[in-house]
Amino acid sequence: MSIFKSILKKPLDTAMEKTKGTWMHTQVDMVETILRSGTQATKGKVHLRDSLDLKRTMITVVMALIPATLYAMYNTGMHTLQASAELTGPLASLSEPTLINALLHGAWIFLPLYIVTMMAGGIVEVIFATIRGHEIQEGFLVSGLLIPLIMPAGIPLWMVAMGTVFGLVFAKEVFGGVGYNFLNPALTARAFIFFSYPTKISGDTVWIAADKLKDFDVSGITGATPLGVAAVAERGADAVEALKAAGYTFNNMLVGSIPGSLGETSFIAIALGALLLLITKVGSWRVMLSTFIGGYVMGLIFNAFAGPETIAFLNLPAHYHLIMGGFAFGAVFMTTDPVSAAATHKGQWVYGFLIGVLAIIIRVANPAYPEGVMLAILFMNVFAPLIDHYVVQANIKRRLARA
Amino acid sequence: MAVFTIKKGFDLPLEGEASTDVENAAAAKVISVQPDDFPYHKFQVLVKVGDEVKAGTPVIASKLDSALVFCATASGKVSEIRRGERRKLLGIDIAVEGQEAIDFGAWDITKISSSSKEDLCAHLKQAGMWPLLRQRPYSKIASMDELPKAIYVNAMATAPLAPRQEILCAGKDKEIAAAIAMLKKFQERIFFISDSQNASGHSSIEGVEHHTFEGPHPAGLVSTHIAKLSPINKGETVWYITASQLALIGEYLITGKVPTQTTVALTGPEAPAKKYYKVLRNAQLSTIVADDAGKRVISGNVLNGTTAGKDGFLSFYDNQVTVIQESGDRYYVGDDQHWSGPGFKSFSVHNTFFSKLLGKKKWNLPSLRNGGIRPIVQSNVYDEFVPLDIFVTFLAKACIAEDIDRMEQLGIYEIDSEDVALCTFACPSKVDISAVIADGLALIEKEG
Repeated sequence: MSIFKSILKKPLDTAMEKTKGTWMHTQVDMVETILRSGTQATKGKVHLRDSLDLKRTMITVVMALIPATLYAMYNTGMHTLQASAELTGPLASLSEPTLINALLHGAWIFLPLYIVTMMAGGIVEVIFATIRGHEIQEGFLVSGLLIPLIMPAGIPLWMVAMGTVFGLVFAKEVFGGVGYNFLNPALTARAFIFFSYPTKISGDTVWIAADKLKDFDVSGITGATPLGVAAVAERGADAVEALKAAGYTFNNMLVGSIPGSLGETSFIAIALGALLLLITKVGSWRVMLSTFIGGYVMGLIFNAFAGPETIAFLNLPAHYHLIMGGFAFGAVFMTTDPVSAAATHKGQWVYGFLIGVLAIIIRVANPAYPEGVMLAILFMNVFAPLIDHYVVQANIKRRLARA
Repeated sequence: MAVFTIKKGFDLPLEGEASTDVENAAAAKVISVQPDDFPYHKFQVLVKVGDEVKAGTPVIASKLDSALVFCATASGKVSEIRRGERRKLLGIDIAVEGQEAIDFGAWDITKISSSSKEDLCAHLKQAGMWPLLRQRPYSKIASMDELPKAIYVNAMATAPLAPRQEILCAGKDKEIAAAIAMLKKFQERIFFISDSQNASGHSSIEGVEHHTFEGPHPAGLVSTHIAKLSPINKGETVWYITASQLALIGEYLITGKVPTQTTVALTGPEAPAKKYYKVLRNAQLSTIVADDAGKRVISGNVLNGTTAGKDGFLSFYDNQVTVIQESGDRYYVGDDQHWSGPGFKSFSVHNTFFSKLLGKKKWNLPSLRNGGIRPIVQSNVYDEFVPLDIFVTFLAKACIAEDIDRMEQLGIYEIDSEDVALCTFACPSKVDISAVIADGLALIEKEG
């Protein structure tokens, strides 16, 4: 028995009693179900239930995101410390590029983003849950952490709040909430910001929280991401050489000490999260694997077209594509959202493969913007039901053939 | 004779397996004929409180077929006609007295083999023995209007703590032979399903096609057998029965009197004793479970059973009683069994708890729901537990949408609610898929 029980039991019992029948009951109920388990018994013919519930499923995904989150804070903090400018603000005295200082600076940038996302999203969730009269859904625990991680460090807080509200309302709540969304809500939030305020979410200056450091001369540093470098390299140049010239090697892209959206830079941190999702089977291995395969295959196809007159991006080795940009993060955390992905096993292979292929096509062939993962995933979210339809049709035809 | 190995499914490691001792239970004081055991029928009550009945006296009749009667399985007096909301008939309770039975006439094998199926049907119906034969789809009582393309005799069971059929049928070889001779008049093709443990013991049974199934639950369910041996298409019917129910029919055929006794396994982590008992059919459960405070007494097993309580009754088709803890403790933040805790003491079929690392052990699981009811999110979970060629999530959604055409396309005729019980168990969203499938089947049966 934990000490929490002795502290929490009376207040929770009283709160539940007093708010019964009132509009506040939904919120109190949410808090209660977080702090203690229920005593509802099963009804019907099946008398037992597994211990796994949706809260634990979502928390597992959140735990899988922790390595990426920690690295995001460290990386952002490091970039802030290494920027050759005067630091301002309460953390100005911590200017040595040490681990602790980096984490603190990074947290100073990340935590406001996270808090704003959770507050904006939380308000949306509470409103819809109260109106609909059901418990507040746990899906938001995951979206709330995903959204800041796919934003650049320099994004204004009000923009993140707007994107969160848009993504949650129009990609999820309008259709019925958790379990009914046909698009990934976190990506929809990002897409909204991308199309409405493109200069704030892409380009060269957003990756370091430039405007969070006052009196900072932005032209002093080039914050171009590896993708940005590869996209503008000269025709006929060797992409790998171009990257090296900008300071990006395979190793530091693997570790992630590069600019980029907060959570996407470190392949290793993402891989740790992927491992947790795969062991617990909370994330579908078919979707993850097929996305990487699709991306790799498309990278190879582009390599076949590379030549002295073509853009340098074409000759980027296929395995570089997998660790650059948001590919790994999208493949592990976004494609595996079970509601917006394909539901059948065969369908998942096709779904993941096409996401990988499309992401690389958009990346390489689109001159305006060097990142295609978000758009590829959203596009395939729309097509996932169609893929499932054909798999289910095969099952139906098998049945009819037997008759 | 083929051996089928089923890979999909799961054996719940529940405590409380019955030892092989068979004891005579104290005689039940009350038995009950309960209409809820027989779905898809409406009933006409044939007796009043105070009427004296013998074993074999009809107490209710189906309004669809007045020859289909349901009889008292012991002699005594009608003590109560229980009704529920809106006068729904819940049970005809009979206070047991004496040992009187109606003699319907003993039939030997020669007579059975030379009778027509209509005569056999009438002979079984008049004593209330016909309902032991059920059909698929719908799992309703077999009907002469829909003759089967095969009959399945199930001598194995994989449900949690299920009794061994060979213990239930011990010493009933003659009865089974007589009943098989009877079945053959309806359909020559009879599948006799055993598991690897009792297959050799059954090999001497003649006139049937023997097959062995191995693997986790639901390898022992008749849908799995049907799917592998002779799948049902739209418009087709199969009949099914368990070996112990077949032995009851055989006993009736040989003696001419309704069998009053059956063998039941008392199982479960909270059962007062874990063994087999000889009890009256439809007996009140207080004969074997004296106290049910804080417990849930189930007629059947934890995946497919009816909550009865000690004052409830053994269902017509059940040979098992399971006793588990009712509800359970509350766990607070910081406890191992809280949803955020490591979960060394939380049982799960999924890999999300540290209890998976503890290896094989048996669990005392309470009847807690373990989470809030949510929409279906993890759609991959269900198909791992269903060894049929059916997309369970899509079929469930078609049932919820009441789309009959789609239900038929996706295989509603090949499945029953007991087949998806493990899905209901494992679902993180706590959706009752068994009820969804049951409602879908009821809808189609009603709409024709």
